[in-house]
Amino acid sequence: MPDQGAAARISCWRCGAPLGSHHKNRLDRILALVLASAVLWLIGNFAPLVRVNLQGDTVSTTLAGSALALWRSGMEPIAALVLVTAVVLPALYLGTLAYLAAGLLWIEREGRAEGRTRHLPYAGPLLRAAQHAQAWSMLEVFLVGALVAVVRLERVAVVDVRSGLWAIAGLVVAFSTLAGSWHPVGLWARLDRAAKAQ
Amino acid sequence: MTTPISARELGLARCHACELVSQVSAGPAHAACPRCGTIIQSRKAESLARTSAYLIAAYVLYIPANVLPIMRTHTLFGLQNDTIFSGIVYLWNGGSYGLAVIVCLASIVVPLVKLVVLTALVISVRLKALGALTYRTRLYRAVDFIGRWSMLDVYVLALLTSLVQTPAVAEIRPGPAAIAFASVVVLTLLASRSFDVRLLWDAAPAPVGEPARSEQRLASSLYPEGRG
Repeated sequence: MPDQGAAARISCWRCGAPLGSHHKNRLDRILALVLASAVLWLIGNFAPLVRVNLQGDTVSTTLAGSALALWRSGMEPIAALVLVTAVVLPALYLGTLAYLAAGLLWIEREGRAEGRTRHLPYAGPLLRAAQHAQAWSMLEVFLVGALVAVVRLERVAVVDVRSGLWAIAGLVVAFSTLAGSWHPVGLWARLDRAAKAQ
Repeated sequence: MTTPISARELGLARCHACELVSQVSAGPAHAACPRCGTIIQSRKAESLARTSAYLIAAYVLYIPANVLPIMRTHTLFGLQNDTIFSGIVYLWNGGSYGLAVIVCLASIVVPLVKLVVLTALVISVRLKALGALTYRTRLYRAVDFIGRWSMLDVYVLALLTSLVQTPAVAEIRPGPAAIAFASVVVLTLLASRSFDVRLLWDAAPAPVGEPARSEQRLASSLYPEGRG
């Protein structure tokens, strides 16, 4: 394969899928999106998502609260599934990306200032963790699920969509922007450059 | 125009984490990626056996997931059992046609299509089928892409269970199908993750003359000035 920098787009000879990527990882952009997502994640996890008034009795729930309700009903494995895919993995995704982007920014700056080369510790496992966390976090599915739940309840109760659900909607948008803002190949190229002698 | 050669024929493999291409030994010994330390395999380990195992388990659980009640509503007037299908009917009768279609697609159609397509792909690899390679590859990608949406009903159940908790009026509890359904979702996700789409192409004799369309695109990206 020739250098992909100049060519517009290379596709797989056999199946036509796009090959490789000369994606530019704008670290400041990644960090900004991660920061915004972290704020939305906090709101989405601690603020109530939906409030329901059923004949005078008011109940509201949070993300973790919905998992907890399953746990209490004896459905521990499903509760764990909900908690992992909607709470834990999004947080892990943000945490690993924050470390990688901030760490890379830092070692590049240090490298320019002191002329020394640096490795970013645990970059390999953390990049892999970020990719898995991205694949298994399903907030966009949760958002549509919340919509279905609201519509179902509206026929029998007064339903209020609260700030937490709006934060999750924002988080879904932020995540899809984030997914297009980083690529492991580009990050590795920069990690390699920072680690090699000038 | 030269003929394409696969990385495997050159003894090369791409790290699935950092995408570095490196030399691998021919044997089954595991090699770690020199850059990021991930285990490199030319093909996913035991792909067909793993995918088949996940599929069989998912088929078995698909039946209770759809037949048994997924949700139980206790009200003053008694107990109401809802299956996945009756939940869709409830949405449809309430006039939410769009949502009813989305839930039907996510909860019933997607898992079933996934099971059938992956089974057909596994069989086609076993039979070393040569036809429609590009089409089959696309089919796999589509199935892999939409799979996550089956989780929809799991989240709906979690929210309804946590929101309808007024014993004096109504109380929603997950039914026995919940575990089966969640298992089907996870098993089909694992099945599509463990299937290695390159196995389809390993049966194909090289060079493949078929996909001229992408060949054209490759040529124009290799020679932007119009040579070749």
